[in-house]
Amino acid sequence: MNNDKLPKVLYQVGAAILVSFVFIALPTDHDTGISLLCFVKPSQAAEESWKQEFNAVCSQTNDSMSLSREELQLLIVRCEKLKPVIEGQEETTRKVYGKRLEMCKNLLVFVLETKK
Amino acid sequence: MRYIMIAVAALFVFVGLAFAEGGSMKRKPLPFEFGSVVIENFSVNAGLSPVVFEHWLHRSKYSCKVCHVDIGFGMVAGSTKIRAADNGKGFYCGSCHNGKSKDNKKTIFEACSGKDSQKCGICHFTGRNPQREQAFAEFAENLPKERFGNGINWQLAEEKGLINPINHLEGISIARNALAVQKDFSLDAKIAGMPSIIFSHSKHTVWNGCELCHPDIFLGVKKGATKYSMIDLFQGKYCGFCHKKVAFPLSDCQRCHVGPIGQ
Repeated sequence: MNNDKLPKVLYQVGAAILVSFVFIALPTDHDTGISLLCFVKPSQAAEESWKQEFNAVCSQTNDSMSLSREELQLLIVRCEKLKPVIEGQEETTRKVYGKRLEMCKNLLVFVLETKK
Repeated sequence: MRYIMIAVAALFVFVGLAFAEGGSMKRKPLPFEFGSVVIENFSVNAGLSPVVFEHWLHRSKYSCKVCHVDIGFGMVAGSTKIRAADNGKGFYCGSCHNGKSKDNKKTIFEACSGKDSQKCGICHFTGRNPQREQAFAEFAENLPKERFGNGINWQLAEEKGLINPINHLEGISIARNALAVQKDFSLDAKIAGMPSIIFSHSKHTVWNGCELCHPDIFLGVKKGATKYSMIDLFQGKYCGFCHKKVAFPLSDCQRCHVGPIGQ
């Protein structure tokens, strides 16, 4: 093997090992031993993303009275950004999460009004 | 003869008036019936009886918030327009009635799966059901008694640890911080000699959270800005939203009018 090409091969082997470690470190289905990453479709990942945002925003309703006006306004903007994403979901998801989001946003707007 | 004719005519007038408003006399619900909600959006067209939802059974296990905030059931009967397909996807009734969730280590039956038609009748049934009446009687037997509604003092039952409603459904509810306890406040009664109302935020938020009441039911931002009347309440507004149909009824005056007598 040519000595000039050796570092390049080493880099490639190193990268492959690193990628393998990342896969091993990812959550694994304990029954099958298969990395759960194999089952995650791009659409699922996107769904998880909006749900995480929904949970992050609406988990703060219990704290809404102690939030500042700026914090409340920011949360309301995040609710408004979530609305079209939820409206793009399938019928039942849209109905359930649309209502939940509306209740969450309405409360934040209500608390903001109380602080005027 | 003339007096008899007048008496008969008067009787007809009184009976006519009594039936005039709703077309028939409304029967006071029995304790096991109080809070039950008949849901009829799509059932009859699908060849099934409407669903009779028993509040007493579900409220003994779950807080109001779990169903009306986290799962997304509306506060007015039929407003949610639940479809069998929604339940099948794990929403609404299917959030728990999915054949996997457990209640006291017992698997909760699957709703609207289409696998076992005999199970449809558990919910889609409007007739008398002695087994359910018996189940209610056994459930209520050792709980603190109340004069109206279900005949159960639910609040006391929870305080004594006799019921322990779940406030979080894994995978559905959002993890929230505990609510800061707010002070009780007093609302003056409008009638002279009537004790004022002591409203306890803590008693209400423990089961409801914030967004169940604000702003949909209580829109008023400043205390005292909204004037509540018993007529509004009996029409199902404000407190009457829950305290007419499910929570202890408005006829139980002494549950709210417990403060000092106003001027």
